Amino acid sequence: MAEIPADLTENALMLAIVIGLSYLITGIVQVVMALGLLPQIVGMTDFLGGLLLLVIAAVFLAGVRPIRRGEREGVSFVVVGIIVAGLVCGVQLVIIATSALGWWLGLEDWSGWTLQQQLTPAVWLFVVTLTVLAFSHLLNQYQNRELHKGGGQTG
Amino acid sequence: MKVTERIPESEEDPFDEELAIDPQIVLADERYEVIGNILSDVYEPGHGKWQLSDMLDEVFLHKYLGVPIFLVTMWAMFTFTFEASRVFMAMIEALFTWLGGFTSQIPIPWLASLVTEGVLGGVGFILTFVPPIFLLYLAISILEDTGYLSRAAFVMDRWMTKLGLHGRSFIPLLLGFGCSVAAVMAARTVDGESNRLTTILVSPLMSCAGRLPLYILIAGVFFPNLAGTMVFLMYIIGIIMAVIIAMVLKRTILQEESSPLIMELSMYQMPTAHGSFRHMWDRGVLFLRQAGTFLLAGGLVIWGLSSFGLGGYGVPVEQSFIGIIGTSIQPFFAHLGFTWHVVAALIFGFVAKEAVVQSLSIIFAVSGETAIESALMAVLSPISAFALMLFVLLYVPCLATIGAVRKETGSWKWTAFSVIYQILLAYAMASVAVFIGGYFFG
Amino acid sequence: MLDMKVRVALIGNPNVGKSVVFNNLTGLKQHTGNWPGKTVEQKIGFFEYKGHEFEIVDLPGVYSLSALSEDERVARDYLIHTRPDVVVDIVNASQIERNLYLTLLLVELQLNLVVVLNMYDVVRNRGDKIDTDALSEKLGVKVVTTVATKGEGMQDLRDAILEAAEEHALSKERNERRELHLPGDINGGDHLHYHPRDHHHGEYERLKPPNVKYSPEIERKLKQILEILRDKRDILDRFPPRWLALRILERDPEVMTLITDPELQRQLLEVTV
Repeated sequence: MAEIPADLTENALMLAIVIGLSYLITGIVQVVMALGLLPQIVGMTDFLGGLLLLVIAAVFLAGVRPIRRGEREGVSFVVVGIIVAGLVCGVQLVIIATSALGWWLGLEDWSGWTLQQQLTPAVWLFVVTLTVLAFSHLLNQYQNRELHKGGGQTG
Repeated sequence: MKVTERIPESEEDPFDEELAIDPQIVLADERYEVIGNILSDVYEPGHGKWQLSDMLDEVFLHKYLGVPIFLVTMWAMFTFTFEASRVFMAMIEALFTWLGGFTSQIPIPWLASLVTEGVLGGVGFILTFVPPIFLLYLAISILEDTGYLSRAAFVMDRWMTKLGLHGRSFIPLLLGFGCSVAAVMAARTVDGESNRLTTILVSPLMSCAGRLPLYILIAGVFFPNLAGTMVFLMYIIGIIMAVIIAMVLKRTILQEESSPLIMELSMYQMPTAHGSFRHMWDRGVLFLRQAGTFLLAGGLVIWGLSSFGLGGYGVPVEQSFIGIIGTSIQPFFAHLGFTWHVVAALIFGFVAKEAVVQSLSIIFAVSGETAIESALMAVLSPISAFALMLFVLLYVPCLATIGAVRKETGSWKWTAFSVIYQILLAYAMASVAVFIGGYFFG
Repeated sequence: MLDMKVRVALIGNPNVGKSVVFNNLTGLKQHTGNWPGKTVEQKIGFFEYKGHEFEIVDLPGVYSLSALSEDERVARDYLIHTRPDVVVDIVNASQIERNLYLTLLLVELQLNLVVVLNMYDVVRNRGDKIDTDALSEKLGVKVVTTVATKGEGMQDLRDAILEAAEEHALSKERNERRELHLPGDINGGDHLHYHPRDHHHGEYERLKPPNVKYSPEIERKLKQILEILRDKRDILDRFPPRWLALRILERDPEVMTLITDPELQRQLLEVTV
């Protein structure tokens, strides 16, 4: 199977903390909203959905300690976190696609459908995740170039 | 080496002291020592290239995260199955309504009724559940093909062992989400006669695809905002009941020492679209064949029984044969709030769980109701509807499963036991649900 | 040299690619049925190699031979009572530690073994290596590496099966020539004979001396048990003696029921690990 890309291992700590906290905060907010303790926002009313975000947050954050200790096991938490987050996002995207189909066909149940209500945190948090990953990738490239430069100067 | 970490030998076993003097364990340890000695001379590890597969196991089999991740996966599977299929169900439904517009114009009234209400209302209605069933099979296939399903079994094994159950039972139980017959057959791989028997007896409690139509129907009608959650809940209750019953059986009539668990965890694989769709198709076709043969025949029988009564054809549905049967048994279910329609449908459910929804659809159609949804709203309260889902979850899945139990246990006694305990359990749990529901919401 | 059809049995843990190996070896020449009186599927295939005929029986995938599940019972009974000429043990090389457990159980049966390290590509990709010569020497069996899904190593496997079969036949001839001691006679000290019930030669089977020995303490116990059983030819003749002693030491329920004499039972139960 595939190798782990280097920019993932090198910035693992940053990834685990940033992505983990995003999911954690959003998860807590959604759970509280679903319980009716906060004014509700469209798309964040599902209690179970909130718990899912918390599980994903837990996976990322569980990696923080081993990564700081320098254990390579730590990276696996980030990898699995991304996979689970992607799975949950993917399922939501499929739901959006089929709902859109129903709306487009003019079926009764979907007449009042709006994209907003189904753009749950599971979707946009994964977009955040991908953005952070892309950022980490760029950062890594930049660092590598610096390293090369540095190596060239001393040599 | 990585493998050693995954040998779940006695380290977690609560019966450590007993096992210490078990000669089988002593010799097993001896063998592993010999293996260790051999491998230290023979196995040359490379530069420790770490595999993605190993990484995944690090977290998927994590002590605390393993179970939550498993639950998230299950949730994703059922949400996908339920939500993504809705639009396709609506399309198929529209198709049959459109067809029904023609068949109801047939000039011979009884033939029009037979085709519209018996065939289209029965088999046609069941066919609207093809999308969720196919998607469920697709999801199970993907989980199986990636190799995650065996990890899930391993994760749950920790809990199973703590409960005094044999861990390998969990794979047949998971397969039970697809089909109870498959689950009963897969119990063969379980070690030990009593472990095997326990697995056979409890695996029908796992919610199979045949029960899905009723959940979707009921949850959609009565709990529209929580439909996905309700369906998911049914599956969870199925697992919990299976575990509880297994524990009870192990502690009472089927006592046996637990044998050590060794499980094979093959590498994770990227599922291929070809492979997963192939599996889905193979299993889904079975459902279609069933719909085409005995659900069709069953639909005709049910139509006949609900159209004819002692007074001949065209009696009001309450006086039809099915009405008579349903009404005579209904008092036993009165406290659950089941009307005779529901009771009659449950009787046909003995043949196959799909038939429950089919019968309801036909009975309501024959009695002149246009939409099964509003008809159900009229005869059931939400609490009774929930009790109905529970009852369908827990009582005997289908004739094919009974046949499989008979074949695998080789005993009519155990087969009868399996059937009877499931009916009693279903009855008791539904009663409890109504009682508690009535107390809080009544 | 080999005038009869060579009987080969295929065994291994579940999910090690056993059926792929089976299909590779036999091609289309196979038929399926059930084991007599069992619900377990039986597959038999045939192939010819270098002028010899081979019949391959695919035994159920099992983790051990404890006779607890039906699959295990089928495999164990076949190995003991029919005693195939060559037993091919398919091992998942990437999980060799766990897989070798079954191999050791087969070594206990003193079978004529060929160990196949299948899925060897996984080991290679990991950057690891398995010294097959050393493994072969330690276990006293032939070892072949394969990647069955790609058809890699199948030729080596056929050669190994043929070689193992020839050695087996030779050892039999040698045995007949020498006549060191009578079959079942434990005075020779090696307990190297027994009479498989359904053996196709219908004769005593000469066993290879066991290559893998356990700790001296366990070996001493095994000797003790065989000493107690010394005159009990009715039991001793039906099983490989060393294997029988191991099962008695383990209190294997099926074997223990064969010992009906209470006095003998008591004596045997006194030997504990």
